[in-house]
Amino acid sequence: MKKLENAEQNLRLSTSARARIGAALEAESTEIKQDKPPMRWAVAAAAVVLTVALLSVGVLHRPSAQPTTENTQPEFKTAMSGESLRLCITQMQASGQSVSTELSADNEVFVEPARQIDGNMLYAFEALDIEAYDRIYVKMRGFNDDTSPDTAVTNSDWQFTSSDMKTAKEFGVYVKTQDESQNEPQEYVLGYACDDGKFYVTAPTDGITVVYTVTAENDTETVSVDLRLRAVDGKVGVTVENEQKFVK
Amino acid sequence: MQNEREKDTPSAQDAQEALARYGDMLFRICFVLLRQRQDAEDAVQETLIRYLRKAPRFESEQHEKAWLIRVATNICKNALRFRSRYETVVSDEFADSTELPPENSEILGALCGLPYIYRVVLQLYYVEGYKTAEIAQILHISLSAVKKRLEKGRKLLKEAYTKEDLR
Repeated sequence: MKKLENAEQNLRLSTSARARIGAALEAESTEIKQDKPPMRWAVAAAAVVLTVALLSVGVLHRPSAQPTTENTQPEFKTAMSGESLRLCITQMQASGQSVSTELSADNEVFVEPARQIDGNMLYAFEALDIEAYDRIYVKMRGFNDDTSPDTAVTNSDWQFTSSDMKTAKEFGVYVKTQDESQNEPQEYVLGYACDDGKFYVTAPTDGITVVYTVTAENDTETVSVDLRLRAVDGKVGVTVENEQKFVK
Repeated sequence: MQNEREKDTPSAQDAQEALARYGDMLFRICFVLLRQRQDAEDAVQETLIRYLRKAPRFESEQHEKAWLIRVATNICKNALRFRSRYETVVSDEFADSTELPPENSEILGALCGLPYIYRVVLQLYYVEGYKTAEIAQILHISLSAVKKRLEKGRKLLKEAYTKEDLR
């Protein structure tokens, strides 16, 4: 081990790297001091441009009917043990509603662009190394397109703690929907696959609330969970394939 | 030494001082974790930029140092995750390096060949001189996990180094 210590003494930042980093810090400092107010405007302008662009390609739905104040979107909550957390949230796009989602770990905020799948927005976050954070928060706000996120009609706050993750023996998937306003049949298909390659499908549910838990077997190294949610009427439908890996 | 900040954000000078004080230490850690000089330098830069942007309030110099290590290891983890996702080809820094004497390359090569969780713990314990309890705090893992990783890491390093030695 002494050898290792000695060997590493030769590992130093080169003079050129030190100068480059120093210059980058100087530039960053100047930017922080000078650009704070304009940055806010830039972000606001970018948000407007993005919203217009999304509207123009139909990603965000214009309210075609009277916006509802009911919660019409399913909520996904997935948590996993191991070294990382991947959280996928999707909303069943109700007419005239949008959603804003934010994930933060301790004081760091991660907001990744949403992807569109089958006309619905999928928010996928990787909260990186959960062991490095005390707490991970997820905020999800559903709001009507003709209002602002401040007047949210849906509030979902989820919190994961690193100790929960480390001690978790089970992988839980929680799916909930209160899409009763549509009053149309829906089918939910939930399944998971283990190391053996088999895909286990749970029974279809009543479409209201599903609580689904996978327990890793002793001889199983990883459990992949493939979560699929589908509405059979084809109108409100969404299919989400959400593969998770649980590593013991 | 108390290092309470009175300003809203640290100045470039604060960051430059941190670079001077901790630059080499951060580079060693990042280099062992990433195994590439350029990536390690970038990780150090990113760490210090976060230091500047986040303007954390430190209780002590030790706290500041631990914060920097934690951020640097997170950045390295992210970089490794990015590499694995996009299958970036990583060159063998040690095989190509002309900066390190051969005997150093062997021990460092052996260390860098270990899985991430052992590399980081061995690095902090043997090179940076942290105690197991301190490593547990920095990495946010349990004390028993640190001890287990140290024990297994030592064993793996010994095996790897012996193999390198026999070549």
